[in-house]
Amino acid sequence: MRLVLYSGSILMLLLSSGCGSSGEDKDGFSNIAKVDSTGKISAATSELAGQVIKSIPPPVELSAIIKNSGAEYFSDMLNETGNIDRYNTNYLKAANLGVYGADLGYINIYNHKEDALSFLNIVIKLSEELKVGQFFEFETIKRIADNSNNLDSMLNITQSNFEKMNNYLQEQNRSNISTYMLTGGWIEAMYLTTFVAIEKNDKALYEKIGEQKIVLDQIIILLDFYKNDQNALGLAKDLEALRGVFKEVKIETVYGEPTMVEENGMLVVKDNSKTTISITRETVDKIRESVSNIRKKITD
Amino acid sequence: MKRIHKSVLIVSLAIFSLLSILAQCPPEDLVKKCSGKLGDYMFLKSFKIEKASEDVEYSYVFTTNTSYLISLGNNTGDGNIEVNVYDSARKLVMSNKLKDKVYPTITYTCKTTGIYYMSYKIKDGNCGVSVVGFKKM
Amino acid sequence: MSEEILKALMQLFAIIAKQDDAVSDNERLFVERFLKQQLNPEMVAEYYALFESFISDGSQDGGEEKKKKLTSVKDSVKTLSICKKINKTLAQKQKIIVLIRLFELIGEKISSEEGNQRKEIVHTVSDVFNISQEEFIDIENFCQESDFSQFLSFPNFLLVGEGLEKVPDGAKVIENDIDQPIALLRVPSEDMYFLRYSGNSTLSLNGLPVNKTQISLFAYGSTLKLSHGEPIYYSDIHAHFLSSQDIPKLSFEADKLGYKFPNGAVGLQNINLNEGAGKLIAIMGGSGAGKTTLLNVLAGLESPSEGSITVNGIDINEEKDKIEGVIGYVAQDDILFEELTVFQNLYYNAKLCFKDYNEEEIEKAVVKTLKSLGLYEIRDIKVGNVLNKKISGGQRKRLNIALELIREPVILFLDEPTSGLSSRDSENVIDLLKELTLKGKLIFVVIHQPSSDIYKMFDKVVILDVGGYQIYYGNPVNAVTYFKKLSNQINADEGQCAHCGNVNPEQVFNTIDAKVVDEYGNLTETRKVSPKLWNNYFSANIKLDKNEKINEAPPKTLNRPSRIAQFMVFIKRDILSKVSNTQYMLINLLEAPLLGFLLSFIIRYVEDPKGTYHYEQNENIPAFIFMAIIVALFMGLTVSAEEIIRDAKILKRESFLNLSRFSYLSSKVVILFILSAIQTISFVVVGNLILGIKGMDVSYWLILFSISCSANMLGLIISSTFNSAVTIYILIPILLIPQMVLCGAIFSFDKLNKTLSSKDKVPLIADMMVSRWAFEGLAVKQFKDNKFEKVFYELEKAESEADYIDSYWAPRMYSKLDECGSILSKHGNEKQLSADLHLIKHEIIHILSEIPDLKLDISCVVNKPTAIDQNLLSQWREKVKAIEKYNVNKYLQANTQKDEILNNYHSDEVHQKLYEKTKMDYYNESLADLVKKESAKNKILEYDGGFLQVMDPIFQDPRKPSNPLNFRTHLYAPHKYFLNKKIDTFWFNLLMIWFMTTTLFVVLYFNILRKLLTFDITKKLLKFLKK
Repeated sequence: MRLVLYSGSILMLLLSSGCGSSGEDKDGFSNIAKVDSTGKISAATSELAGQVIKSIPPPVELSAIIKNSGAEYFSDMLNETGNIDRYNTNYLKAANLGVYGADLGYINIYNHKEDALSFLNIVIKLSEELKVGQFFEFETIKRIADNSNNLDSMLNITQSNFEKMNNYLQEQNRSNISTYMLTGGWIEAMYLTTFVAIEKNDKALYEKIGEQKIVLDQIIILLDFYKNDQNALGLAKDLEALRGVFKEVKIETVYGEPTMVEENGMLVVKDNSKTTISITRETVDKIRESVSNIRKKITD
Repeated sequence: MKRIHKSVLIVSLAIFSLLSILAQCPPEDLVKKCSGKLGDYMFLKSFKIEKASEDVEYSYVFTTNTSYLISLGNNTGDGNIEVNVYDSARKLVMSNKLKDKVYPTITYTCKTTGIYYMSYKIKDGNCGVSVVGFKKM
Repeated sequence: MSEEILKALMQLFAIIAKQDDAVSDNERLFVERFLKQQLNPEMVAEYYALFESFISDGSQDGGEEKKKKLTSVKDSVKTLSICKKINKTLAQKQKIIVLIRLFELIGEKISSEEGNQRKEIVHTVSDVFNISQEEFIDIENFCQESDFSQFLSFPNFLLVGEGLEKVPDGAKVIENDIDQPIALLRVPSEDMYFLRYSGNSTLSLNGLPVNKTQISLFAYGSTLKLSHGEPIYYSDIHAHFLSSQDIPKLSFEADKLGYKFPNGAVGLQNINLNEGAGKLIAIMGGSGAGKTTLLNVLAGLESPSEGSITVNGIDINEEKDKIEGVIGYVAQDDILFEELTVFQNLYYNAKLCFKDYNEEEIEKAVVKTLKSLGLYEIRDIKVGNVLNKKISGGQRKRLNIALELIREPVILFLDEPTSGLSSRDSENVIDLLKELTLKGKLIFVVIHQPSSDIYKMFDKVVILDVGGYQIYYGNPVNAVTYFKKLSNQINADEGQCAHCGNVNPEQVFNTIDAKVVDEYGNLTETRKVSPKLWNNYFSANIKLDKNEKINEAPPKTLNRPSRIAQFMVFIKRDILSKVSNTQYMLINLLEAPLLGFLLSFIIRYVEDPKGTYHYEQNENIPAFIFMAIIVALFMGLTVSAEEIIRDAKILKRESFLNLSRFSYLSSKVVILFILSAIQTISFVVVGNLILGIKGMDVSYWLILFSISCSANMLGLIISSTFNSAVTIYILIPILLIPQMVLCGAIFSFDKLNKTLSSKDKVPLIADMMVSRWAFEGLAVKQFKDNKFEKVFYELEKAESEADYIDSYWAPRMYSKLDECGSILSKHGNEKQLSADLHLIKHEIIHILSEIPDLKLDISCVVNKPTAIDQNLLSQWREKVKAIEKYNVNKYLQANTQKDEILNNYHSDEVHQKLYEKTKMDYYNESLADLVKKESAKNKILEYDGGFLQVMDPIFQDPRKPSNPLNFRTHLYAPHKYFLNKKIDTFWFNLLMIWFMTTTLFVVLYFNILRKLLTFDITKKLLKFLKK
């Protein structure tokens, strides 16, 4: 009889201790969650940012250049698909969406169907998590699949969808997402390009990289709109450092009057100005290192 | 340059805040139609053009040794949109109007990397789109 | 004779014997004879030597006057010291026996001085023994008087003899034609009787011949057999000494009693009885004659179909409450608690009968009853069951009788109390009953094949024949004569064997049952005299005695304690019974943690083969919740399934005693609940520990305990409804499988049979399953309120609500509007159009009602439209857009807040680690997928004239119902609406389970299921068929 009572009281104690540890928040987990935001981004910021976003070229340009250099396909360089589990803030999701998007472009150039599929899945998943999944709905995917043999067509479809996505985000006052996406995408493209450039010692690639100085300026301007955000701030700081490296790049332009001719109902304009981009291999290497570090912060 | 850039943007803002009230422009098929004109050019961007008192301006970074194609379309179907492209120094680089003819498509081989400003004016209709594609030279 | 007494006696004999200096030969002879009667030859020699040694102790000195006086003083002192020693070692009864033996010794010498000296010594002894003066004188007279007729004037004496007509008033005599009278002395203080006889007739006391020279102790239950006449029983003697005040006034009458069995067969026909107080009546008959039936009807257990039974004018069936506590009934069946000792069985029974006794009094009563039935020595032995006997069958029977006997009911019915007992035991039992009748009780006994002695102890015998016919009612011995006469047998007048005093009851039955002999001299199956014929003879020949009619209320000996007191007794008894059964306790207590260990150990899934276990990634957690519920149900059901059926016979008795069924059931319920509580605690602690489910222990325990209690109730219900244990165990799967199927864990509610399933709510049939409430409650709580999710839940909910509208509802609405538009322009299906419009209208109104913050003018939707045209449609479209826009903002807001929180957690290493660890320990992916219905293909569904949200049930509050009592909603809803209040699902479900448990208790108390199954249905069927 007593045995029953004793064991009963022991068990009740165990229960209450189990209860107690959930009642107290010893490690302050829930305290960290206290925020005072109302969660609004001013419409004005969104509009302005939207403008700048439009001006930034998508990574697809860079990817095309890589192929021409004759470099081989390096899947190890790409961001691992498994990493997606770690991205739970909007910033990380958006930035890595850009990264994966750029990776997708890279894969498509080399026409690696298998990888393309898995990266496409990742892109879709992240888009869904960011509430822009409708731009990769069934219709779209079908079209992409149907055109899987036509690379250009595929790229077009993907690209136009990203654009629609960006438009939508702007409408929703969520252009910060677009910003992170673009930034991430650009970083990844830079990462891949600098790597290949050094590998192949390709002068044309060096110049292309040097050109990005201008794009970088735009990006930094863009990030400035979101300086309230910790993440944007950190990123901007890192990019400033990168800009410092880019100072070594010299771009000189000699103006020349453009020529305009009609051809097949189309107006063909030829630019007769000349730009000279001076960039050394060392600079490219520095750029590569800097970009690599920034990329690491995003993808890991 | 930044300051100029910013002031331009502020001006555009004023325009856009007015224009943002109007929705659903351009319609989906118009964008598709314009994209179709790209041919072997790869799609880059599409820009929405709405009827306004002032020109609608967009900026874009064009890079060297790249050929770009700008395709225009509006809802009345005749592509009657004027575009003037300026370089970063605000010098006119090109226009789609040549000898009083407005061309719905222009190609531009770029040799100068930099920010370019595209200024659109819609002549007919109230909604149009400009699609930009690129091709490696 | 014990050693102590013998030694003491030797010493005393020695002192007395040597009073006149020389021990006479007579004395020596006396001692020797005395010893020879008690002991075997070796012991005789031993004690005799002792005797001699005591004598020689004193007689070393010479025999002078002076020394005589000295010796006498010395002897007195010695006597005193011996007596004091004896006082310490012997009981009072033994001391009286010693005294009597001393008198026997003296009795040899009645003379003079030495005689006086001896007498003085004996007197001293008596004083030291604390024997009262009156008793001393009685004993003295008894031992020394030779003329027994002197005894007649003394109150404590009884004589057995003949021709004692001239007896003074108050004298006690028993007539017998013995040559010389037998004298019997009563010692009231110790309730002892002594016998003395000096005649020549052979008497036997308890089978042993009576010594003429000695005084015999007439012990309790003894039988004195004489050469002529009836044996004299202890109770007969005792009866003479009882005062008449103790006899209650009683009249018991059965008038034209008839009984029909439920299947229509006749049980009893026209039975008539009439008895008063103080009688022992036997009910006898062949097999199937109806003895037990008669007993049951007389006791009031069954209602007669004809006639009535009245006690003191009160009909026992019409006015049951007035008869409460008057009648006692001892069934043939065993109604003992196997796990309790003999003492405990009787003790708890006593507690239920004697409300006002304190502990001491109850114990005294128990001990007294045990002693009177010879069970005192085995009082601490467990009763055991029939297969595993710890006490003998006879002892069991006596204990059964003791249960009723302890309260000495005024009218007592016993069903075959002597079956299976030895003849000695049987006699004891019947003797005990006889003693009760001497106190005035009326006792009816069904008895089968009694021995002659027992047969003769009955005052009256009722004989039944097959078919329930009464064929005899009267003196047992006369029965033999009666039947013989009627069957014209020779020696009809000899009722008994003249020489041996035996009556053969077998004769009676042989006569009754005699078969016809055919022409070949063989016995046939046909009886000579049919039962009906015997009955006719009976009606013709035997008339009932007229007893005085008594109208005062019969005395009650049952004092039922209050319901609460009964409850306490039931609980103590049951707990004691359970705890004494070690096997039971071990299995029940260890079962739960063992199952918990087994279950959680097996499903402790680790995703990465080289890695450690993470709660987050264990895909088996939802299944664990389900299994835990099933285990709790199983344990609850099996523990309680046999409870009531085990007590079936005991319950029958307790209802006969009008003990509270409510108290009994409550005690069972409390005990089972305690057991369930312990089991579920151990299960939860073990299971949650192994699987790493943190912070949920109390919640798990609350739910599992509650459903275990529910299962307990269910088990008790089936236990009290069905008659065999086997049926009950077959039923268990039938009860549990629906719980498993309709729990919501295995089969999705929207994918069941059309008639059962429902897309927007949990099906009604599942709402009746206690497992469904438990599963939902636990799943919701575990997901929503765990340490990790608590921080994000509200925001995620807002996100989900907004997302549903934006991503799914709005597009569907737009497409519906488009559809309408196209129908309008093409002049298509009117019906379709109106249905669609109705849907759109309904949805807009409904969705807006859920968003009180959005003030939108929807008069164009609500009011009847003037015209159904594209304009109307575009107006409606605007409203949808407005709703969409609102939700876009809502989403963004929530999302941004959530993002900020997440960024906080990612701001530095420490926080990051904390975040990851907390998520790993508290958030389970599979559970999240379950309650968010991630696997559902369709997030939104068109159903019943509206849209149904299929996705994220955990983030979806139910719609406010029109009926405040309607709480039914979809599965995994985080809150439930009831009485216009929003209640957290976990608590609501818990209350629901308790509500169902309480309902089950009501069903149990009123035994509704049993009634449904046995009574009403058959009756209704019959009625229906008759129509």
